[in-house]
Amino acid sequence: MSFEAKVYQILVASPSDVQEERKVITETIYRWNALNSFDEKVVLLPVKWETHSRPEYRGEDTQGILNDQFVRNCDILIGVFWTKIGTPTANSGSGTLEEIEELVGQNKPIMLYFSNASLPNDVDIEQLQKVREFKDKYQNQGIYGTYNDNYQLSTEIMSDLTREVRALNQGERTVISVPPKKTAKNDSESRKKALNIEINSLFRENERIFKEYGPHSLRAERLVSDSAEIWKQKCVEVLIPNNDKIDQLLSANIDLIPQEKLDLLDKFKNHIEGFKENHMGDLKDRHVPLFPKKIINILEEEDE
Amino acid sequence: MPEGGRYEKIPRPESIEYFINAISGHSKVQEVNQIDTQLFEVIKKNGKRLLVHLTNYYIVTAAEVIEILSQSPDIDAIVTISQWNQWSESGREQAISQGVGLFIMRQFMGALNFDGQRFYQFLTADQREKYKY
Repeated sequence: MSFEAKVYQILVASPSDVQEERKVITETIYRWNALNSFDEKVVLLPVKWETHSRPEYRGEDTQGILNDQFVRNCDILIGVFWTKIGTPTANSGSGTLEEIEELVGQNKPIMLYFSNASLPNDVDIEQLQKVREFKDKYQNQGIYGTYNDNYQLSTEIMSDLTREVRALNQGERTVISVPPKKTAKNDSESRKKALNIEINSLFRENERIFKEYGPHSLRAERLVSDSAEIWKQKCVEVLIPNNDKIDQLLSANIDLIPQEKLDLLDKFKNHIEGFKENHMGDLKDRHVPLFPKKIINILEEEDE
Repeated sequence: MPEGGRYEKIPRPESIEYFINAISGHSKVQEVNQIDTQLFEVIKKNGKRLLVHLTNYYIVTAAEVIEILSQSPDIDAIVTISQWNQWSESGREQAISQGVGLFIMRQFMGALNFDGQRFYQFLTADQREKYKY
């Protein structure tokens, strides 16, 4: 049986590191239609560059072509971010950001979600920092959602779309709208949790190597051993890069470190600088500060 | 990664035992005598006598060489016992400038095959590659 319905176009906007999420969003929109279209008399149409762009040449400003072809005509934007912000365009920090700005400029609903998933080993710190900056900027202008896995993302989007469609049908509008239950404090906790998981995995890897190959390991009881060379190699190839990564992650999230523990971060930096020089440089010093073991709990508040 | 406490500087008893056994078994060595906790006399089969200071410093720089030589000015070599330990270029330059060899254990075993300048300037093959210029 046919029925009359209003069709809203939902733009799926994201950088390239959330391909699975793009599929999940599309499937969620189809599932929303199956459950709600007849009752709401609304059909949601997922719009993505993969399905809605066509070949066109202007010699410059590729994002401008996409804006004209389908971005500008969309009614709602669902944006997802994890570790990347994307490649800069002629007019914005990235294609995804330009799409968001395009719809914000038209006062259309924007639904943004940020992943709490663990960071990959090869994370681009500069891109990650840009995501954080963007998140902080938009925190002052609206509310965004966070998710731990694709199931949660799908569930959140399903209910958020229902609210958004009802608001659209009733003529209500907000610049950025998403569910009211998520707060900046919750987001800070989520970031802290994700950061803890990430740095603990790096600390754990370093500890494993130290215990297995280091100067206090069982192997080191044999004073002359090839294991000493393995240790030196692991220092250069694993421990020092891991230390640098931990330093970068903590520095990029310094707002999550309790004020009274910032000196601990300094001690850690002094240790990794000296450790690196002792293993890779010509200037060595046996008085380099030892690894400050408390650094592992740097994100925790001090117990009174 | 430095060792703390008593064994930051002085080798562990088992390390000293290992040193005596290893050096005694060297083809160019007649006998090894412990003169003091960290001081050893090595008599070679060719009749040459070496005084060796054994340490457990994690890294031996010029500062440690100066400290050791101020206490034992007559030594011929400083050996930091573990292969996990290392010396810095400043330490080696300081030692050589005073006619003293600075080695980790494995290098010392190689150096014992030589006498005089070739002894205290001895480098292992991989170090020769690293320091060639």
